[in-house]
Amino acid sequence: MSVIILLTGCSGKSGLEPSGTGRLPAIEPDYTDVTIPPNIAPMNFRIEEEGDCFWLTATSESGALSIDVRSSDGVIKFPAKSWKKLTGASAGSRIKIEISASRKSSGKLEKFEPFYMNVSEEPADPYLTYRLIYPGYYNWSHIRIMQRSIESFSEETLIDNKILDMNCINCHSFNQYNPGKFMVHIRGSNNGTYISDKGRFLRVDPKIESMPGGATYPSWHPGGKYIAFSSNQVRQGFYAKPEKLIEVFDLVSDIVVYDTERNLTYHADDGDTTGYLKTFPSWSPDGRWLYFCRALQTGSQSVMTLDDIEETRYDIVRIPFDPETAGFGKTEMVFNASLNGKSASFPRISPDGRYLVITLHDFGTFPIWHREADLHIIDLSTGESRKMDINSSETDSYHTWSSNGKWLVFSSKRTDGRTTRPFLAYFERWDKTGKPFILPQKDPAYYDKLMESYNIPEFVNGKIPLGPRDFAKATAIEPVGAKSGNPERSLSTKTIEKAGMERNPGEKSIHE
Amino acid sequence: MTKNRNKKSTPQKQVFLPAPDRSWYFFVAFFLIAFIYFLIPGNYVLFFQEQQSLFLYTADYILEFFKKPGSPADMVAKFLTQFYINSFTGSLILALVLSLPAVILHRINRRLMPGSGLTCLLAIIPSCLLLIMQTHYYHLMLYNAGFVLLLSFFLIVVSRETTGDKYIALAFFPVLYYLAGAFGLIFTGMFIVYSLVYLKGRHRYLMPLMLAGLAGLCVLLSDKFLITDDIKQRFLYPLPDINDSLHRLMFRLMTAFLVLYPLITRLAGRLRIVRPRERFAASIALPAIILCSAVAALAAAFKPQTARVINLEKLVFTGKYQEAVEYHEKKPSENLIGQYFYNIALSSTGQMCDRLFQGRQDFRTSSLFLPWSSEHINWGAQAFYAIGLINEAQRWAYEEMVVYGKRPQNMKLLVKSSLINGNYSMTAKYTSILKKTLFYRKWAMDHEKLAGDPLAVKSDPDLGKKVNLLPGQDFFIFLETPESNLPRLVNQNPGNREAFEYMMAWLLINKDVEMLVDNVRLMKNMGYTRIPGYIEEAILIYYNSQGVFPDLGGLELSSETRLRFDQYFTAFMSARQNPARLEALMKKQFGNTFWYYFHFR
Repeated sequence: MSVIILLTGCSGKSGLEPSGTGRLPAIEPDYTDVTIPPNIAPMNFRIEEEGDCFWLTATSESGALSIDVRSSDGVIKFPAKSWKKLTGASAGSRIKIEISASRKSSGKLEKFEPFYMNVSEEPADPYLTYRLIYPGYYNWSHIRIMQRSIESFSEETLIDNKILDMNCINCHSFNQYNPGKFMVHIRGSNNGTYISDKGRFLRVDPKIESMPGGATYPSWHPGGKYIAFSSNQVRQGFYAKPEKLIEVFDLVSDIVVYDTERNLTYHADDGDTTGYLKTFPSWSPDGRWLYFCRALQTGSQSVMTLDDIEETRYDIVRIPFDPETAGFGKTEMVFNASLNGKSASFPRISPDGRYLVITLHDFGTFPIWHREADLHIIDLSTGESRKMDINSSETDSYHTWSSNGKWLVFSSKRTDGRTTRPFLAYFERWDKTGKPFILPQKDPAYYDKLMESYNIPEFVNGKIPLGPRDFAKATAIEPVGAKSGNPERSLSTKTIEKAGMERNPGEKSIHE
Repeated sequence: MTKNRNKKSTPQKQVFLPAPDRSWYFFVAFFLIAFIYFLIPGNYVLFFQEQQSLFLYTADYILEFFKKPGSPADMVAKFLTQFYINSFTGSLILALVLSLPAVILHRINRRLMPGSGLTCLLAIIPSCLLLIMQTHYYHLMLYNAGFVLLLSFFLIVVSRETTGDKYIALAFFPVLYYLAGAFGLIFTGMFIVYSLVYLKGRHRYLMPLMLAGLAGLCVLLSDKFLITDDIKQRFLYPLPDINDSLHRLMFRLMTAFLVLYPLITRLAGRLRIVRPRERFAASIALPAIILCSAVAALAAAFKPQTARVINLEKLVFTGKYQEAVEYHEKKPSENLIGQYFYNIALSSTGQMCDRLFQGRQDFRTSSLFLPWSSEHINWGAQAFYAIGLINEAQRWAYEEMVVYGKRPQNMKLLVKSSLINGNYSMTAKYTSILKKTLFYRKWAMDHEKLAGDPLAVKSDPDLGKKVNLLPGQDFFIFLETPESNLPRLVNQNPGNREAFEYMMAWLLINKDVEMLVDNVRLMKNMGYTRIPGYIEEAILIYYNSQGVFPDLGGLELSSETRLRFDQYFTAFMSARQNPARLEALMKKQFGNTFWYYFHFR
């Protein structure tokens, strides 16, 4: 098979004197030597080299299939059908990309060194959901949760706050990558946790009196009955010096588990009375452990100074959970990040339960605004940990495993230092990952123009059969408040009041 | 016999020949009134509106305007609004657009009331109403475009000769609805009245029914397929909803007038205006009265205080700080934002503590830093930019962009702040947006060149100055008490005289003389060779109450200020004999001194 895409303004190669450059072509996004899933959409890019006309040939390793693309402006857009055949036929091998450029002025045809795209045998889940939001401070305007087929460029709006009274739409979470069972938080006039189960909506409020804040950062129990949340009093501080912009921190935080069938909320309590901040819960694949981040409380629960925040470092711990009784055991340390002067966030366990990927940064709870934040992996069978080889000099953070455990999607600010973009990385083994690549777009310049961030990218194994109007209709459902599953457990009233009332100068809840 | 009688009467009928149409004189006069108004006194409206959006020459931006009914009109309006950047071109375009309803209605009148002496009068009224509406700075070009589109479509429909052609023309109503949104619904009302008044037989009912059906279908279809706005937006976009009683009244009058226009023309057409005096009254005197009334309404609707605020804003945004200082002192703004811009201009020209009370300071410290709110989000960044707290200036600019979209000032500030902060990737992103505009392209390209070159940034007169003001050590910015940032900025970077003078201005306005004089000792090390006038005045108040001078850090008080204080003291003691007139007397002679502010404000 050979497909040629002809673009006007590009004449033939004949008459041009070929010469080798001895180097790879500069392309954007950088897709050289990346590892891609066989079901990925065309990896369109633009060639950032001088030239009047560019020729590209993409060939399967066997040489049986190839695509020829000719471009006058350096923008390479692969035809979808041919690309699908090429990647399908190249699974487990690689695609060779050869590029040459002609310049009328010199009459030369410059040939660049070929580069390769490795095609894995294992596909990634076909859909990604994410929130498109300005990486701003207090204000928000248009917020959407989108679903994007990674197999094509099809992107659809799942939730749109334009028809939800411009409410803030928060975290979304799926049960076992299932497009039919997920939840999303909405704050504002349509406040609530909306749970969609096979197209049927529930609108609940898992918050009980003893929680320091609303339910946030959800994680579905694999059994589908429970959702773990953290409950945080979130504050923001804004730095004066240019190197950093924002610090997001918790005054108080705790972990709860919500029983979706019985409408009960339980504190993940092991009887330890030490003052901890607890956040970012994440279930083990067998549902017997709840992992989360835990730090010793350094501030006074009502005021956190910059020094306090810089001293707050989170470790990864886990607490045993019995799904039959909703009972908890004793918390145990999994990864002592604070011992090494670091702070850990976003524990995510591989579907086989063997590996734990976290974000490691210097201090605090919110790595999205920490340039030094990098992804680290822990082998849960040995406790050994290492920095992953997919990081950059900018923030690399929020990450999720694919359902087959062979792919990671993570948020990186490596393109401009401010906006997060979804990168996919092939997980070969714990000490080797494929070179990550940014989710391809039909227009390779798409990310340059987009001001919004891709927030909370999550793999889903199918298309969600819902749209914005379905959520708008769901707001008519009366919210149901949860009851306490362990009423004897509560923070002292004084603590809650204090945390809610007093504010550090310049700090305000991000949802106010 | 009958025929003969008719023939005999023919010469008499020549008396009733239509008078020469002088409408165009009035249309030209209207155009000139509008043009001159917006070129000179009302020019602030153009600046304000030009600053509300950026028209980008990109496919993505343009395509966004085709996603919901009414948006294509907005695209045209925003395209035209970008030319407001130039006062002459902007006034010309605006005057032309405002004149269009009169021209279109004139042509409609030729169909509905041919030869009537009232043609000009009726045609010019909607343009006059629009002109009065346009005096409000939130009356966007979009609303003018909506009216022009609906009138154009009405002209097209009524100009069809046959009933069949009218049905065909009417079938294009969805196009009008798509282009002009809810303005199409005003057309619906207008056409229904037209059908009932002008059409005969079954068509007078069938056509309105067809139109009503089409309108309903359009609303339903757009609701289902095109838009995701809330219900109010779906039905009313893009009709104006400006919180101003005069504007609301004018809009309602305009809508009612247009909906009833066919009936009005029907009645007017039946009037027999035959005598020269009647003709003069109908075709000259009445239109002239309407025009004169419009001029009077313009004068009445003109808000000098609004104009002053926006003119000050314009001077500051264009970097004409000295002009801004002089403008406020000559034409004082009584508005918080106006006085806020005056203080920024004072700071930017290094005159904060020398001229602070030369202009009005009615809002105490609120005019130094605007409180954090969506109401002030457009302007709040400027004070932080002035004192070199660049991260906070960037935050305000970014938040404004999130809430109100990309605007010239927020994008320019994002470019400048990212250059000062050394975040060149984001500079490229912001300049790439401005480069897609017609009038900010050059500015963006000039600044884009600086990205990646810290030395070039430092060499830039504006940016380099701000780089030197950056704080030395990090701290969390105080958002709700912005003045708390000032001592930190000064302590960490003694070269930051802008922050120092903002701090001193804060203390002056708050009459906190004790704390103010305690900072005077720092001034010599900060590079001051003389003490600014108002700080000297505060020192003398301190001396007067404490009997000793504070530590002046090696600087000295000027003899002029000492002499003037003696004069003030003498005048005060003398005027005290007449307590009822004390303030007035002191104000007359010393109204622009800190001493007067301290004692009487």
